[in-house]
Amino acid sequence: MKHLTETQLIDHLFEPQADSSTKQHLDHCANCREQFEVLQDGLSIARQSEPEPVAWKQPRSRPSLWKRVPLAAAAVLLVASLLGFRADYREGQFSVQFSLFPRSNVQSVSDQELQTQLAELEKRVAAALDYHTARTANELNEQFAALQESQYRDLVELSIQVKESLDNTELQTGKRIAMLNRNLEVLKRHTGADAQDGALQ
Amino acid sequence: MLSDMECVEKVIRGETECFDLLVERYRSKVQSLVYNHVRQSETAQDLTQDIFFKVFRKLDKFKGESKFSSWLYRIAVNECIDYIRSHKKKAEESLELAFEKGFEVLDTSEYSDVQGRHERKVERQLVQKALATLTPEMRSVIVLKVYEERTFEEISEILSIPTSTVKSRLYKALENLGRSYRRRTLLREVTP
Repeated sequence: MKHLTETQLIDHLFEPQADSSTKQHLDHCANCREQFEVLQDGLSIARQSEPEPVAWKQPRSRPSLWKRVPLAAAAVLLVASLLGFRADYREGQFSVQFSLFPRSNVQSVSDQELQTQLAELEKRVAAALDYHTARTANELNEQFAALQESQYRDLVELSIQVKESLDNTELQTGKRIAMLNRNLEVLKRHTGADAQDGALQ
Repeated sequence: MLSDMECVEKVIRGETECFDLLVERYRSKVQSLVYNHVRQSETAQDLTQDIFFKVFRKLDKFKGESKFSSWLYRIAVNECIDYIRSHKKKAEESLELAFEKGFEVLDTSEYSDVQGRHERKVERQLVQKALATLTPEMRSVIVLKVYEERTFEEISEILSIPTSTVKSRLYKALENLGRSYRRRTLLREVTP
């Protein structure tokens, strides 16, 4: 007799109505039936071990990662510009220059140009400050989240300890109740014997 | 309402806010899929975030040959498998913790039944040890078929393997679980 294949057994496990010939085979073939029962046990174990559903916490209100990509790029450009890198686009050519003193010809420029440069510098400092503030806020957010997580873990550990302690108490109580029951039995027996003695006398 | 593919095209063209639509559409499903693999809610949330970031970076590689959801779940499952493989020991500990939390802490109705509780605890340990015998790939098939109740065709598309391979992998996973559980039950019965 040809035995059932893995596919046939799996199909029958999840859709028992689909193929009646498989059922007939299982009724007559002990080997396949044994194999099928092992799969049934496995499925039952898998179902028993399904994780308990959880109530999901709302995601943190900081910008999503994909939104942070352009933000991060802007931050990098800002820092690069503060460090003295300058990007230029002229006549279809893109170039990046670097200079520690990008305005080295500052003495030769007019007061108006100086004021423009000063205003630009002020803008850059303000942007750098904004960036620094945002970064600090982000770091604080992360520290807060880490703190929350560690507190949650502590709570889980505490609940496990409390449970263990309850288990021990229950066990002790159970033992005491059993002992009291035994004592009660002994007492009943003695009381019964005394009553019988009294009746005889 | 925009279809998944329309959202993808818009994101590729630079309208990144459309990615939020995809995230809103699939976040809870991906989160639950990941949680069923790793069994720890914080890890599942972090991994889900990583998965969507990865999807965002790889979006231009999605050519629409399969459904977007299948492509997304494939990335999620692969990420879970990598995670389980690299955190095997930790995952086993968290599994233990999940059992502790799920059954012991919340189960207040059984406090008077000391012996019954002990038996159930032993039973859970047996289940847990049987589960530890599975490879991450086997676990994925069980998650998709048993917990998520997907069809074999859907699993085949998600994992990008033929249906026959899905069935064979599921067969081995269930056989492993069943045999391992039977062995341990037998050992428990013969050991005083």
